[in-house]
Amino acid sequence: MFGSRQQVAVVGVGHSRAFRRAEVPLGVLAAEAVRQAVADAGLVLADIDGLSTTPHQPAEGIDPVDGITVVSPEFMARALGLSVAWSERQLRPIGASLINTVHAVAAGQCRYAVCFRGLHNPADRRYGHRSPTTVSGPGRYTDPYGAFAPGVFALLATEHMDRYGSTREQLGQFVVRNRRQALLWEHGYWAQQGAEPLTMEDYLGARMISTPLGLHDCDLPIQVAAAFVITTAERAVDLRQPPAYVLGSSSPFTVAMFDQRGSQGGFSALDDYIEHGQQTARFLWRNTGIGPADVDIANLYDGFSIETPLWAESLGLCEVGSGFEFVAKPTIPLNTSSGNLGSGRSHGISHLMDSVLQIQGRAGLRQIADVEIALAATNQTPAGQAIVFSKSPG
Amino acid sequence: MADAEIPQRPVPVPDPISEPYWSAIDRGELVIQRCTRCRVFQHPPAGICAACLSSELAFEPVSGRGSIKTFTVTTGGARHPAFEARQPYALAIVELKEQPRLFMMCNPTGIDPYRLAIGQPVEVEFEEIAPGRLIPQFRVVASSSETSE
Repeated sequence: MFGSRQQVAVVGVGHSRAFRRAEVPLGVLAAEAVRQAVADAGLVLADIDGLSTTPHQPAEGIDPVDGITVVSPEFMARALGLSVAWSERQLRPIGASLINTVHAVAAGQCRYAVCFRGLHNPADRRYGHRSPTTVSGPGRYTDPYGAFAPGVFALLATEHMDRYGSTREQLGQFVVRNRRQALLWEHGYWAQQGAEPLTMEDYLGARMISTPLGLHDCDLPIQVAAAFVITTAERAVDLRQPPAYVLGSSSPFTVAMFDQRGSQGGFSALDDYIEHGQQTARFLWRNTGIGPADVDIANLYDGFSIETPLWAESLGLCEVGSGFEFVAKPTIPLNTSSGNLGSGRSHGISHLMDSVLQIQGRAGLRQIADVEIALAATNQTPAGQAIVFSKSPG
Repeated sequence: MADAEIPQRPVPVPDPISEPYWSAIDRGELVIQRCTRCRVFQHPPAGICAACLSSELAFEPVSGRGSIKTFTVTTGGARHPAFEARQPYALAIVELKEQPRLFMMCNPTGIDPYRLAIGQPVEVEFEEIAPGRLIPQFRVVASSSETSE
């Protein structure tokens, strides 16, 4: 056994350029991000002895090609000439990869580890589109009905609005704010493309995708990569940047999304969703020794706008049922990174990265004063990961 | 009903565990896997009872009645050509009356998708997704307190 609490810190970050589609090979972008992160920490590549990533392409229906649609740890080790004592091919999003990297460093298997992630958006086809004419596995009970994203997320929004009287305008306030914040997130697609801010009129007037979710409730698929350097608190103090200590985390993964059994069988509806998120929260607060009232800023996953209020409710940042109200008028700075909705579909990269930068006091125009505790949550509440970063080592 | 103009939806291929379920569906009968020991229903079918870990599972006929738990109407961005061609289409989770949170997915019928509401009573029916292969669907029906379409 080892205690990971405050023994490990994020000490460097790197982010590639953001492209709408695969204009530059993903392996090139990922190598760019890793080199940047290592230099940011004041280290050299020869110092890196641990690697974790999630080498899975977000776009289904095509064969993965290492360096093009995915980037494996082996690819990165070869590309950068790394010799590592630990590497991991993670199945889950970058939050889980970062948590395991923290554990590997805390356990002493590696000293300076890099967690990176590259996300591919194909140049010649639409993201996530596939056209199978047969289906096996759990999809037998969902695919014949066209139960795909964002429809399966829209189901949650319909239920929430019906039960709590929450509204599209509340989600709209959240989305509009994200797009304004997006212009301050220099790594994001919108900032790099110089997009105009979105108005509430634009939000409400945009085409519907899956009722009640419209175009701007959905994030934009992009091609991007990022990396984080992680080491022990002891080693962190000698490095170039102030450490963002990892206070603790939780990633239970006891239930997957709509394709697997919930607690009592069946598909996830709103109650399942919140209950499993609350399980993540219970262990997060136990492991960190703090509570929701101690959180200064939160970056909560927002692949679709409905996901953030459900995280806020699950984590206890607001009452269950008041998540839409919370994201419309948050009581603490929310999604300072602008999230997926602001920066593009980076599967939690921006949530983790700006949480780190805010703790380090390096968030530039986005910087919130006196951030002691930053909370990042990636993926959906069932199967999600929550991580707390702290400015102080203890 | 298969339509040559419209791309084929994904057709379920049974495995040994789900074969009795799909055979019943193909006969126009809705059965749900139930644990013979703890009596809990589970869907989709699995190799073991998730509630008590018993392997003694059987498929039991159910009423086919339930209610709309939640729904959405997809009007754009469907990720499969078969559903892109069917936009707008309704997708719903139905809660069967036999057990809380015993859910099935469906494309509800018998109603204008834009008049769907949570809590509407439904009844199972069967749709031929491909020659010889049926899938369960649910039709919105009149309840005692309201009239249907």
